[in-house]
Amino acid sequence: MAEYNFVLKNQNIEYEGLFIVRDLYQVINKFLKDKGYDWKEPKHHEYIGDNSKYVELQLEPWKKVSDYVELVLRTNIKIYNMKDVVIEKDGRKLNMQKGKIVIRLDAILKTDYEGKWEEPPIKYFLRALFDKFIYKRYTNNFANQLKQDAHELVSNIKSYLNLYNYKLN
Amino acid sequence: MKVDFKKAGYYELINFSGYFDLEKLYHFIYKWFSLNKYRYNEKKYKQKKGEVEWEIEAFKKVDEYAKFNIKFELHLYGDGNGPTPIEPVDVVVNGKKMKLVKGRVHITISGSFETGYSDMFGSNKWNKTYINRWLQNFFEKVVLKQDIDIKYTDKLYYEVLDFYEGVKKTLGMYATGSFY
Repeated sequence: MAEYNFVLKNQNIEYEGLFIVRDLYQVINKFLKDKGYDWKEPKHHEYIGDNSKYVELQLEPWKKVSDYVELVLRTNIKIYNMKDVVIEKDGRKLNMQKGKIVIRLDAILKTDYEGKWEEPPIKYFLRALFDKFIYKRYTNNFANQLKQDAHELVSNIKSYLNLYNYKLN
Repeated sequence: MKVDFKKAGYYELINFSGYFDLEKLYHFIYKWFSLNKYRYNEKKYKQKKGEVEWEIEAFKKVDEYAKFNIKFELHLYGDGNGPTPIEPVDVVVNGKKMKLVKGRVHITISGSFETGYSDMFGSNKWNKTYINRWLQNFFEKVVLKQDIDIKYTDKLYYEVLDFYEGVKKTLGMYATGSFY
């Protein structure tokens, strides 16, 4: 099994108001594609209740930067009390959604993702020494790159959500 | 060699509750497999007391050495209120009257690929002797390593993602429109 290092943990974004789920999804998707991440969507739940809808998305986009290190941006998106609304702006009708979005982002640096240095115990020990003393400089560089990607993703999402606040106001 | 994405943790899971067009989903799945040159086999279709379990396994021979497999599993059941899930009800969507099914659906989509697969008219030649197995191991880990990563793994992964996107669009889910 790989070694997981949380570079950033529980970066939260909360927003309540108008948005378009499809556009939010595409903003995240396009950003990660441009940054060279591979897409992984292990979970996608949508529940339609009597008065509102609930959407939950779990994303784990990953990028292999070397044969030893992998960057993962684990994103959990939950949309509560979502309702479809039609907004009229400048004579045009827009189909949007209204509700509360909670996004949690974790940036994870995975080392030895193929598990080649897991067993026997001597190899595990050598891996720990290697990570702590020999490869530390490179791991730190990758961690900084991951942190930067995570911050950029958070600011992209915030810009997109704020866009609707200002545009409609 | 067999690489199973599900065992490696790469599979797609959809849980959807609401109204959707089951017939459209059937058509989409068979059409996607046909267009992408997969041969499909309906492994299981169980219908009991308003519950449906459905499993399809499809495969495609990429070349003489590798074969892709995609597995689609669907479990449809009611939410305890209203009619049984396999009974379509009349629903007006965007001014059009449609027959939709109401219920909860749980879908798993996973892929795997096999190298040195058995030929229809003979057994797997690579597993016959120890030397053959060693040669295959050497061939895949040294000679064909890059091909396995780029030509097979990546290609299958994005085909599964494409299939997954199509299923989400057919169900009418909100978060769709991947750029991959």
